[in-house]
Amino acid sequence: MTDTATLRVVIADDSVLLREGLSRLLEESGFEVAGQAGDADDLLRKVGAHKPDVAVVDVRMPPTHTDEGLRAAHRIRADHPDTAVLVLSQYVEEAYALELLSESTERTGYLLKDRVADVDTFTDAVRRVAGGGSALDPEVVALLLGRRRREDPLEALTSREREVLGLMAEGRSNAAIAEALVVTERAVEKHVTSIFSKLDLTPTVEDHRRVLAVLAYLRA
Amino acid sequence: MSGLRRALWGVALAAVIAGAAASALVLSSDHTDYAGLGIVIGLVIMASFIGTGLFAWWRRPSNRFGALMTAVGFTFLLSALTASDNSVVFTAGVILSGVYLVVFAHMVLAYPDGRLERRWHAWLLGVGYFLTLFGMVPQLLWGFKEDMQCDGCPESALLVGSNDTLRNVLDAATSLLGIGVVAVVLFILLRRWARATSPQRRALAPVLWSGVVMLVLLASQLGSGAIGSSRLTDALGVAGLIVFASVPWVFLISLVRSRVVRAGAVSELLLALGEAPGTGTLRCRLAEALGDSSLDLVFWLEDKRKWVDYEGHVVELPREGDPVRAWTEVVLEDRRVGAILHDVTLREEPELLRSVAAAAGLAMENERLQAQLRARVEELRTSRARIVEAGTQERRRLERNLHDGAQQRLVALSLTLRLAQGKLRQDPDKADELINGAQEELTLALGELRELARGIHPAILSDRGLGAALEALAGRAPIAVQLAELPERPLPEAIEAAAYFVVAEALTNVVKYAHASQATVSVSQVNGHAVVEIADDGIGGADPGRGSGLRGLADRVSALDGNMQLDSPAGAGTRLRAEIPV
Repeated sequence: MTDTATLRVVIADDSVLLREGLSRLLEESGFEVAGQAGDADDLLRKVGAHKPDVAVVDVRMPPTHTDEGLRAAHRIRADHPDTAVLVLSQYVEEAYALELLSESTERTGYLLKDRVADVDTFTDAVRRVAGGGSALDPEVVALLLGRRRREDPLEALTSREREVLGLMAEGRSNAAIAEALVVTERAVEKHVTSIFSKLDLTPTVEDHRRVLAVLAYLRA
Repeated sequence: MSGLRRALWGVALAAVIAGAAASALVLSSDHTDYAGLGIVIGLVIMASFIGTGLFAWWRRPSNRFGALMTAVGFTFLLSALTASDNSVVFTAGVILSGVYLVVFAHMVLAYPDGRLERRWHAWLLGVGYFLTLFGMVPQLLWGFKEDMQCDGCPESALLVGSNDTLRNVLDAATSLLGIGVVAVVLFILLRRWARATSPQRRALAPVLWSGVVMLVLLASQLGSGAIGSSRLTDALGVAGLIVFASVPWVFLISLVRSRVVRAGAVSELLLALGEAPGTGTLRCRLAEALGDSSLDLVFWLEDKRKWVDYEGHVVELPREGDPVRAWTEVVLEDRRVGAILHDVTLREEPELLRSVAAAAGLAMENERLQAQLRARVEELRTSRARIVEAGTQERRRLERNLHDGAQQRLVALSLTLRLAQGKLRQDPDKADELINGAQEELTLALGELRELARGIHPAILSDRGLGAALEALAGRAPIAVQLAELPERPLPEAIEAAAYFVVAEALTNVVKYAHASQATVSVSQVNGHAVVEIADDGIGGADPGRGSGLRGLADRVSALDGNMQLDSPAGAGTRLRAEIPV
């Protein structure tokens, strides 16, 4: 599976309108929509049948309209390790996101539903999780960074370092961070090293491990 | 022996000496008829006033009535000076012989609490003293009138000559003024009677009425003296003396009688309460026992720290110093049960009040429970009304927010899209710009809708429970919020929701008003209650009545049978505590 190959997606959302919209948007962006599901059971069935690269899942689905999507996401991660899951949520709820990303950040993402309107961001996130990475919504990251702590080591970070930390938490690679901040990758690496030492974290090169460490730090 | 008792014994001894001296003076007099009879009558009157006065003084040291009565006895004795054969002493005796009447009037006016009601009453008495002291002076200066002359009396030490006209005019004038003073005193007494409540009347009756009769007689005597009818004057004098002499006895008898009657009333009360405990007639029975038909009962609600009446309505007790009403606490097994509201005059009988209050304890506890129930019903009724009202207001607020926020944005968006559509062919750049603007507008509308939904009911609360919802809340707060304690097991949904909104509203208030740097939230389960506590390190001094937010929360909590307390001493942070039974 590479970026050039057409990625196959299954969409789960109880709103037909949104499902159709998402489907059209993804197809226009070069994805193949292998199936659509209106509830969690349907989703699990279709993921089993089509073995897609990515499942895009709404948190709230019938019958209880609470967190079926999240639970289905866990099942998919457990039963179909090759299928990435991108959860779309109506809420900026860090608890859901962290729950999803706490065990592993591989092939997992949590985005605010509004984000689909920003086609590039959205398709980038789909590609990122399909590629084995993670995606965490910037608003959730902002919330985590904005938490008031009694003795806040985040205050020791420079504003650029905070930006880098945020982008790391979103699941972006050094290259992506460099591109977003318009700096060299070398500069990003320096920032990352500085952040890890200020926060007293063990440096790690692997992207998803790094996200895990950062998120674990931020949620504490 | 206490200081007071020693002093009273001293006064008694002084009375004995004064009595002996007066007797000696009368016996040695060469111008007094029936000296023996005079001494006996005089001493009996003096002794009854002083004895009764000292007794009252001893029982109620703070009440000056006893002292006044004693003073009447002593001043009455001064008239014995007229028996002296010495001209100067005789003259002084004539001048001072009427003083006791004014002291008596003072005593009656000051009955029953020993104080004059108004300042001008003192002025009135001042005029009375002036008249009694100077009333005889014209006769002392220019010779006694015919009917006042006595054989063998020494001459006035003040005699300057003879001027019958001037003497008669002045004498008539002082008599008339005296009548005027007596009339005003009578007026005060009768008006007091007219305004008195029935227990007050019972207390006033003995002294007030004998005082009235005595004063009427005195006025008549002055009047008859002025018109010069000596036989009538004498007769009235004798009648006045008899009434005067009876006053201490009437007072004493009423004192003893009320004691006997009240003791009977208390035992009757105990019997009645024993027969039918906790009936609604408790108030009537107590009113009967205390002889106060205006009596009322109020009950103490320990949890609310408030007094309520039968209906459960909150009531205020009369303040200390209220001129009409007073209250007596009713205690059962060291616990405050309620209070008896009664006429302030019953304070004069503290032992009676105490025994009635003690007898009422158990029956009152029964009624207190009923009143408590009614108070709860009343409270529920009002809080239910408030909850309904709050619901309506909340819907109105939501409608306004939707209308002013998301809805407006969507309308604008629809317009923008329509415009963009029009530009699409001729001016694609402009169309692109418009659509970008529409996109931004849409993002804002979505954000607003999300916040609105979160405010109505955060999804995380129903999905993940109180702990997760509170963590989210703490994470969003602009100050450091520590979650000190969370319940181990999930609570019922309604309680979790109430707890969540209590914390949310409390944190909002902390951020808005407390100037705090951090807050601590804990939710624990203690004795079958969910206890929610929010404490901050801010400036304190929070007003529980502030805003509708706290009020609404209190209603929400009380709808679940819980209660809420705010503890916010100035400068020492604020602590809000809600307890909800699980």
